[in-house]
Amino acid sequence: MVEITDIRIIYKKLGKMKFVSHLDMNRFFTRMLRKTKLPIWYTEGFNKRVYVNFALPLSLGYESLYEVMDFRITQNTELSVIEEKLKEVLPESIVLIKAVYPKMKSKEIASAVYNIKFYDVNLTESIKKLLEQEQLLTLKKTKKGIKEIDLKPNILKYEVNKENGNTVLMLKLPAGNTLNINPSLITDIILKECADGSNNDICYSVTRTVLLNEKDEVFI
Amino acid sequence: MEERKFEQLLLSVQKPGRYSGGEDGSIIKDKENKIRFAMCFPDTYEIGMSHLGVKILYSLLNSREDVWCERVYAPWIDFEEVMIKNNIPLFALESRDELKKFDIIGFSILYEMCFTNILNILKLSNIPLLSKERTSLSPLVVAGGPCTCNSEPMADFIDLFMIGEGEEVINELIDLYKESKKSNLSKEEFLIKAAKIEGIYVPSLYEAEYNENGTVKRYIPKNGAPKTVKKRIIKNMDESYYPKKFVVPYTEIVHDRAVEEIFRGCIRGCRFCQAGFIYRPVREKSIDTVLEQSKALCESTGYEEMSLLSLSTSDYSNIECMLEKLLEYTDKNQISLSLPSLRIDNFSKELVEKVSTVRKTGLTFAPEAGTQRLRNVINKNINEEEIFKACKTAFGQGYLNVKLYFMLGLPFETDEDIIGIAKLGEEILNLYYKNENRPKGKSPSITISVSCFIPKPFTPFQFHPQNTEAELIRKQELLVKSVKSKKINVKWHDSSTSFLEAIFAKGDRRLGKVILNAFNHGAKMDSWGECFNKEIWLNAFKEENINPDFYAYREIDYNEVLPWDVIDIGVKKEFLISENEKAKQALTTKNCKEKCSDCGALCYKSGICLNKRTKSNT
Repeated sequence: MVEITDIRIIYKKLGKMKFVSHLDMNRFFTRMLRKTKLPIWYTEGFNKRVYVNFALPLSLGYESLYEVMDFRITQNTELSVIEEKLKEVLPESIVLIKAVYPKMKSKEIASAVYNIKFYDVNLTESIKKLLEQEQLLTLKKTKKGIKEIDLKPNILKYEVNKENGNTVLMLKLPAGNTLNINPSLITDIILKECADGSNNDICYSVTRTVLLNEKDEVFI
Repeated sequence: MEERKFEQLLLSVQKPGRYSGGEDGSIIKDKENKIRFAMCFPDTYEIGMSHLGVKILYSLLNSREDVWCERVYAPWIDFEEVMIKNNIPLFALESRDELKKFDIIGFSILYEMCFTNILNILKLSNIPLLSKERTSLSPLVVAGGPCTCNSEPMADFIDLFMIGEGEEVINELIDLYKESKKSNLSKEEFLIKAAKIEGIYVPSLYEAEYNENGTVKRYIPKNGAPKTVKKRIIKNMDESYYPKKFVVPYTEIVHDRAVEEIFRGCIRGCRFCQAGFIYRPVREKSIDTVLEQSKALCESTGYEEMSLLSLSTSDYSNIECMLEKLLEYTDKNQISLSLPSLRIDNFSKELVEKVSTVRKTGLTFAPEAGTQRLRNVINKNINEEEIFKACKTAFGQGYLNVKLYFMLGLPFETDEDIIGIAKLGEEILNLYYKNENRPKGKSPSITISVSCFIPKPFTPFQFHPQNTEAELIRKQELLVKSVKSKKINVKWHDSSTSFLEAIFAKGDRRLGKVILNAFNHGAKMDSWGECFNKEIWLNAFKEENINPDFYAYREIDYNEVLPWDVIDIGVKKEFLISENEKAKQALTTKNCKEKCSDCGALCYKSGICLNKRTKSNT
């Protein structure tokens, strides 16, 4: 009887890796795990494959300081050995933070925090004004079609700051299975409303900083 | 351009991972004191990244301390628009430097329909298209690959071609370039020296003369360039360079797996097949080399799939033994092994069983022609019995889908041969139902895939005209009409690109202006159905006053001087002529393992030519 152990890794996804989509990440980690030669668990069935599971997909183009992925091993292996083997094979734009035994289930994820950096200091005031409005109506694609939603009650927390000549917006948004709000819904409004139509010229970058549960504890 | 602006632009196009670089295995070096080589594949990232030749040369060049080789692919239409709008010149993936900064820009040319992409890569790099307009030594524009065995249509644009296999000649070229750069040689001085390296063809050192009827009269070499340029080969495949690591892409590409080449060349000599002649002689890797290289690649890449590569996998001398050893490794390491290019006649039950321990997908065979007479004409030495035996074996193993490849428009083809394709399909289908162990409640499917025959240089059929488009369409319709069962599915290729392929495959350097004209009128990505525009090409021929039919539909006389006579691939023209004569009488020729047919490849003194066999007296 093989003993199967769940392993969770926490890592940063940076730089050029932001162009790797969620689906491609699956294949990427499959290969990386194979390269480690750790006793990786494969799914049973006709076409065996490495089991990997991501806690919460990350949109193409976003960086992240806190990504979570699970896989399984078939022989008892020290977490420190797993960390070491992974560090040997991972590229520099995937930074392993740690390997742990999972404490929470991915359906417990309730919110995510994003840092959005606009490379334009003049946006600070207009973003503040925009987010102070009572309603923020936009169209959101759902499984049932496009519907209008109010983003305002979904912004669980926000902060707008000037930082080294940039405008930095921190957003805490609902995340997970039941309701997931992508920060692009808000950046789209900002670029439309605050940038006098010249939105093509404003660059911005999005970094997800952490995943939280209902009690605002860091997901682990 | 600022990184963040660039990244924002990348996010506005499809599949930005094609342009971002930074893949596992990609090589970053210090720019100082390096010969910088841009390895360009004139098609999309997904196709170019799948090509083994580029992978070999990329690793080989980067194994030199004095060279930094980077990759360049043709951008898709959406990103091209973004680049033009934002003044971004085309760049290499590793350094993101524009191509102008490179010493050598090298193109791998695999098919005629990528010619315009070559011009587009130069244009997007703000590099003059015509060789004579680029006056300085750098960037030098070079090319290689199977399509360059007739280099003439691209002669106006490329400074020099490397004919044959590149692993050795490319090093010699770099050495000469490095030396010439140091001593400040002009481009002309460099090219005259380069032409003295065996396998290097410098088109500007040859003057073409034509007869009144439009055929080539002769090529006059200048400045000591050789009369003919001899193809280079790697004599010993076990000692030849093979990468231990591939660049593993993040995004999905066409062939995303480890690839182990098991031999070069083909023993068969099918009379339509260019690869069967230009890669002669057959040279195998030993089982030990195959095993060692396969393991190294799988371990360094993490690939879960591996494929063996050659022109005809099952012709490998000791295939059973090799597979046994290889499967021992792949099974243990959860790697699925695929064997493309199996032949019907030596497709044994054991072989099927071995492949199916890994993954059971459909089977693909290439009978190429519908009747035995025509199969003899093309020297595809398989008979109906062997086809049926192989299909029976496959059905007995539980395979449901069989795909069969055929060609339409072959020389000496009659309507009977076309009806024969349909008949063959139906008989194979009947075989399935005769199999008593067939899975219950499952329906088989037979796919008949037909392509249009294109006469290619260095084949016995090079002398033949291509069928006209109207004739090809009539034949396609006849085939579809002849297929009665709904379980047989007929697929065919568009005949209009085949027409252009025929022209450029056998073309001469006068076609350069047609290519340029078509490109200037927007032709690019011609192998992509959504981009190909036939009108642009027909118009280009008209405007340049060149009759395309002359190239595609003319029967070539044995005594004619051919544009590719300047290239010597080892196989003699007399051999090609004698093979064509045998085709007329539907006579077959034995394969290289059975008997040497004295084709001329012996001049390389390597591979199968050194094996002891009876030598043909004919």
